[in-house]
Amino acid sequence: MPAVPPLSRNKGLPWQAMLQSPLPRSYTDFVGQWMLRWIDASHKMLAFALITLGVLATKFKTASAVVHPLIFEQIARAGLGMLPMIGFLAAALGFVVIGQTVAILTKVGAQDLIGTVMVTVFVRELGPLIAAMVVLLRVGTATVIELGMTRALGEVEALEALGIDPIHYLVVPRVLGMAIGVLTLSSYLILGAVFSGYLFAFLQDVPLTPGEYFRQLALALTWQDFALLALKTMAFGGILAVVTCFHGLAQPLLLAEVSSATTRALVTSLIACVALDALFIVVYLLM
Amino acid sequence: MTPTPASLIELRGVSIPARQDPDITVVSGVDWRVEDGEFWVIAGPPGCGKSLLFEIAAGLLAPARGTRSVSTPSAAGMTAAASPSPERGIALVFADGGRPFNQLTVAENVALPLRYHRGCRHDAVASEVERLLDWTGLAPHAQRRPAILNRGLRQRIALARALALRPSLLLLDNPLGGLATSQIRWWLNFLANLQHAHHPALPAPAAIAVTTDNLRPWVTLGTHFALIEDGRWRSLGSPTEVASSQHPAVREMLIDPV
Repeated sequence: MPAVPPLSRNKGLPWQAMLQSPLPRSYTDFVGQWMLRWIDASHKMLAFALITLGVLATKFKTASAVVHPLIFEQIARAGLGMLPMIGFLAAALGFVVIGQTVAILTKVGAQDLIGTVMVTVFVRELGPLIAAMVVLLRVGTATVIELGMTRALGEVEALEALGIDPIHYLVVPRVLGMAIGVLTLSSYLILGAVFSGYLFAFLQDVPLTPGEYFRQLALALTWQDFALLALKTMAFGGILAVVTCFHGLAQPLLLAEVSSATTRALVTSLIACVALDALFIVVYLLM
Repeated sequence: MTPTPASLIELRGVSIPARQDPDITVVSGVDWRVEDGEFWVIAGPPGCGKSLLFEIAAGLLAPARGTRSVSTPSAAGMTAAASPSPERGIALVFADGGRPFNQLTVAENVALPLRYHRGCRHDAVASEVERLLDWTGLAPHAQRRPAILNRGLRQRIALARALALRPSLLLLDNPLGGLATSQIRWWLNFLANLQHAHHPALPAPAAIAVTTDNLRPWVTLGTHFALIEDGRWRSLGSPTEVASSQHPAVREMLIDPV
């Protein structure tokens, strides 16, 4: 193991010497191993996503009497079943964020910016991200546990023994369910927050008519916002489904490992969604 | 010279890899050929690789070495190359309860392979499912979930599910393991009927293979016997040859359990 060179005034500033000195071996080993594991997991997850896309494209009409009801079941679970929770969050966020923003902008005479602020905060950022997090917590967690149990109990091999493709039967319905679920929930969340926000502003006697409020929102929205909202939310849903299904299904699992697989899936999903969100920010800035 | 009958499955020089590490070979030199009407009993101590052999035969696991060739009988009863349709193919019933799908009812479990491969609703296969449930004695439990049933009944769900596709080769991995005496009797009677009476659930040409670590229940039922021991495949021959075998492992598996 190479010795760390002493910090010397003759070698320039101390921080330069620190940068030149080698890191402790254990630290570099740790970071290196972590990065290799991360690259390996990303590679496997990407392969899993491509396989799923391939199965979705080639087998969409196969066994439709069995698989399509499962897709509707997953849409109901990730979309319809989350409506009460999304309704509550929309009302709360509307009161907290929009209501206050409208009130403050009106106080400082910046009413003209209300539409832009609402579209930037809710349509582009908070709506999709919060809907994705709700689906991750309520449906993604359950997905990892269900599929992890299925894997650990050997039911995946039982499906294969019957000639049933586990990706087609177990993963495809969840991918479509979560993608459509996050899209619809984001829309409801945005609409709910916009309405409840105005209600809060109205209760605070803000001198802003509903016509003016919605006119500004309409002016701030472009067709690209709708297209990117659809793309982003469906990508969020797809990522959540692929990551949670991958952690539950794509590797041999013991019953005792299901809990750690769930934690890994939640953290990976969160990081993947935030990373995708950052990519979309670049797109929005280029618009 | 009479032509050799077509095999339903043939493994030649197959080496079986360990489940956790494919670089390790558990059993090597497996030469196994199954023909119509045969009842194979594959014996060996627990953990010797019997289940892995069946997973290779069912196409769930790739052999480390050697070849696996399968022929599935066509609708006309002629032997054809393996087709993508799993009907009349190889069915595997797993050990330890058969791994039924716990989120489905018993009837839904049995209907699933039929519905998936035919792309139809439950109503379209209801009569077939009822028949399979009647044959396997599961009719009273049709609407129950497998999780609340005992191990013997769960194993029967897997059997009914496997028979739904009218396989040409039925692989049963240790079907009697951990079962009560009455359940063992039911299984032996049912398999005897399947084998001898050309049961509609297993139309000819068809064959059955089971694994076991206790040869006694199978001596009257099996037509061909094999042993997996110390990582090697050994054909034991007919029931008479098994009964007269002096091989210590075979003698041990033939004596009364303590």
